[in-house]
Amino acid sequence: MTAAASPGRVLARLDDELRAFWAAAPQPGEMPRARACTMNLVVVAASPALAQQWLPVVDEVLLGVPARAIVVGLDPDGADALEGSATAVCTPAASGGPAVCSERVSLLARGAVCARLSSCVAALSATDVPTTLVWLGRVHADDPAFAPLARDATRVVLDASLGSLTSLAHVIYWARARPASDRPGVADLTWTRVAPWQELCARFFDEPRTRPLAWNVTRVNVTQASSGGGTLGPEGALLLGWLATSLGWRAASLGGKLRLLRAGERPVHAQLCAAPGRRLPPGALAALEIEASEGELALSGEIRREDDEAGGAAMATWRLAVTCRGQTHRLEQRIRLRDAESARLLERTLHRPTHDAALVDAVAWADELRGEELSCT
Amino acid sequence: MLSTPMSKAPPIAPNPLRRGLVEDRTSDACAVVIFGASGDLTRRKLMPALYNLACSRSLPGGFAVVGVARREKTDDSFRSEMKEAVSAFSRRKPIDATLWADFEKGLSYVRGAADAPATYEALRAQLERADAERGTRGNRLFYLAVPPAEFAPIVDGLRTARLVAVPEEERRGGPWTRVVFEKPFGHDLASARALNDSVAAAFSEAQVFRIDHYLGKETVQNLLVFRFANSLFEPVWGREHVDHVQITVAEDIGVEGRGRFYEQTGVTRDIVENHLMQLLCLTAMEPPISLAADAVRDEKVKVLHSLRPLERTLVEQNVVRGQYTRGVVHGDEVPSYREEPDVSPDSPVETYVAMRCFVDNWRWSGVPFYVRAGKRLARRVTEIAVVFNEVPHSLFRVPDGGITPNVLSVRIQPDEGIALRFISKEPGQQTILRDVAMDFRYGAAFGSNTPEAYERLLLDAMRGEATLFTRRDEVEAQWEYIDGVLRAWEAEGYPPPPLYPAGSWGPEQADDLLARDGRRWRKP
Ligand SMILES: NC(=O)c1ccc[n+]([C@@H]2O[C@H](COP(=O)([O-])OP(=O)(O)OC[C@H]3O[C@@H](n4cnc5c(N)ncnc54)[C@H](OP(=O)(O)O)[C@@H]3O)[C@@H](O)[C@H]2O)c1
Repeated sequence: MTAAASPGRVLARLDDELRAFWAAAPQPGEMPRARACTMNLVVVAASPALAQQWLPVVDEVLLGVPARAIVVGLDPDGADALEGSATAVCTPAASGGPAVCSERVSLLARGAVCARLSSCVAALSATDVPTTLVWLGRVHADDPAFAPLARDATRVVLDASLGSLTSLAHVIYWARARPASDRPGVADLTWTRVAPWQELCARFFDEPRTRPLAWNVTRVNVTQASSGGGTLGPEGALLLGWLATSLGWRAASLGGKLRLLRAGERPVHAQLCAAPGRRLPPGALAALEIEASEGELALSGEIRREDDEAGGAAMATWRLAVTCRGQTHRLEQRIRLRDAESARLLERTLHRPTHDAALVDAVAWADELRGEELSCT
Repeated sequence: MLSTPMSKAPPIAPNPLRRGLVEDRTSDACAVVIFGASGDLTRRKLMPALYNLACSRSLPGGFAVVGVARREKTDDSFRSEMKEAVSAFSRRKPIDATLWADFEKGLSYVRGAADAPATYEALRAQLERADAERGTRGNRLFYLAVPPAEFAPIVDGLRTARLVAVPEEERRGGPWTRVVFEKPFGHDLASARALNDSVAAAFSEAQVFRIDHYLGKETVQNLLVFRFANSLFEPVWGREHVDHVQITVAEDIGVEGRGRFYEQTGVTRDIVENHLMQLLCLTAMEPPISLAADAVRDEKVKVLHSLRPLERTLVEQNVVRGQYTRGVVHGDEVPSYREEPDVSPDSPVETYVAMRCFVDNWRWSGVPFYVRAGKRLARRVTEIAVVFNEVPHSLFRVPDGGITPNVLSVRIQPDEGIALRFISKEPGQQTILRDVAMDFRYGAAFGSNTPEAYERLLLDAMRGEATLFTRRDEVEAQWEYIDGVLRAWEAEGYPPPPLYPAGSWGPEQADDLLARDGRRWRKP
């Protein structure tokens, strides 16, 4: 990256670099290039190091979602400056056609420039396409770096695992307070990470016979990778929030202990557990167990994530046992969760609908669980 | 079994945990029964598609595949053959050993002939085992990947063995049965009707999925999105602005050892009756009221009914067939059709056909649709090209033959995408006009790892979504149109197909077909 005196100069240079890229005729032997752009993808990382880490992730995403990407690292404590560079990320076409290219600008905003970031991003954004803001880090809806960027975006993507559920909830409330015509959708990478767990959990109740049991869950255990003790992290909280809001559970405390009540004030015994010593990212969901019964029919389901293999995508085992009149039928399936790859996660998030009512409900519910302790191992 | 009285039982409530789930499409637990499990289609397409569905978490927890064919195999040998096939043909490589190990536990094989009642008894026993051990819950998807002559015996076998669930039971949450037919569905109108009748004796139409794998292709589905999600194109999509439409399904390969099959079929039955007619329908249809299966299919059927029938005299004027002789394709010398194995040395079978069709309705009146399909043509390409009218008056002096019209081309394979050709000024002091193409490549823009057509179609069939499958009246209307052509060719005294060299774009007569209208074929 090259340092420049004023942000305006840096932006002018970046603009020139982008233009030059398209103006230059392909060199002999070089493939002709075509530009494709479906959105401005503005990725803001809470630190320059995190931004560096995300550059290859964004490049990978651009191969599947052509966009103008602007990746920004924030250094609010540095001396005022904007640094930047521009490049193109190209997918070679299969049979000798033009390479399809996205543009990627990377910026480093230091000191007071952080608060003027939205003006820098606006100068570099492609026109006539929607803007997605991906904010990696803690966030406050009134942060002068965040707020104007979020106002210009059609969608804001956060990661509750990097920030917090509370800040996700604040951004959701902030978005809801905006006029409907100008309201950005809010998405969350942790929510996307939890999506395969939701899908696997929904499978427990797919069979018409067991479907009514969804309203009769008696026990739920959520286990989280953790070195022992600690509190329930965003993954577990969002999964529990989704279950609770989908099935109409209410959280109530009794003597400081978490109690969940379903319809008719009947209890759902909930246990939040820690799984120490596992090869899993800290705070990652390690298992979900669920039990339900009604009359002679009982169901017990389990999703258990296996320790990560080196370089492999996360694997889980899904188990279901349905007992009816003393006879038990068991099913087992192994599944790749693929939640470890940041590029896939972001790409999947970008493909989800812009407005997600289930996330809004789950976050509101899960935020209540803030600080809930893991009480078993 | 189908005559159960209608019950008033309400449909069962949906799974509350499915509400708002957007990511993964799975189906109910089910067993997929593949008739023709030792065949080419199973190896190259079906098993890789099922494995890829497993990789993308799209298969349900209760799942099994039962292969049926006459060849001797054990469950173990079937599994290892399928593993080999998936390793060779899956789009995901290498095979994921952990996932495969789990997937193959659900594979089993039943040996038996289509017309032997014992086959269905053995199948029933195997399916009951799958229900008990694999949790498939009595739901069955029968996939008929067998030669078309075996369709009717299998339908009959399933019906007689009472392996078909009553549709009303499904509404009440009971098990379902669906059946998928590979193309070709019938040989002509009469045989398609007869087959439909025998299918209808065993299955209700909602249980029947007639596959046209073109409809599983992303670009073909994108045609609907392109037309009906962009307000720009619909107003110019019709006789006021479109001069003509060209649809090409060109292959560079020959019959590839399938001479016996081709001698019975020809390109008209193999490609035109199904794929090409579907492309024509999707291009010409009116906006459906929704994307529900019947809404889309209703509109396609209207197009088929609007096609100007090709009676004998019209066939001569509007249809050209051809057969390839020796030639050079991509630099290699290739034999003539009649020199291919299992092909008669004086075969009259067409390997090329070009047709001028008219959709006689309000929108398309007078706009010709030129369609062509052939083997051993210059290159492999499938495209739909909408050629717009020329400008009414040219302001510019153009040296060679006026301003070329705008063309919107939808490329279905290879290099799926959409290109718009328009005219632009070349930079400089003089006004020199140039054709330029605005080219959107689907794979390059959205990544090339898109699901195969068979993945989409298998999952749709497992989920009971029929939009991308052909309905009974649709398939019969397709045959009705094509039948006129086939009957004309069969009539005494009809000239044999003209020959064209392999590696060319077809016989000269096909060029004349357009030249008579003052137009010419694109060289896509
Ligand atoms: N291959 C493709 O790419 C492709 C593409 C589009 C459509 N199709 C259609 O798909 C179907 C299958 O094509 P294919 O290429 O796979 O053909 P194939 O390789 O000849 O396989 C035919 C299969 O049918 C089985 N079979 C034949 N007669 C039978 C009988 N009387 N009873 C039980 N099984 C019988 C054969 O097994 P046994 O010999 O062991 O009995 C074999 O497994 C055809 O309708 C074809 O038109 C194929």
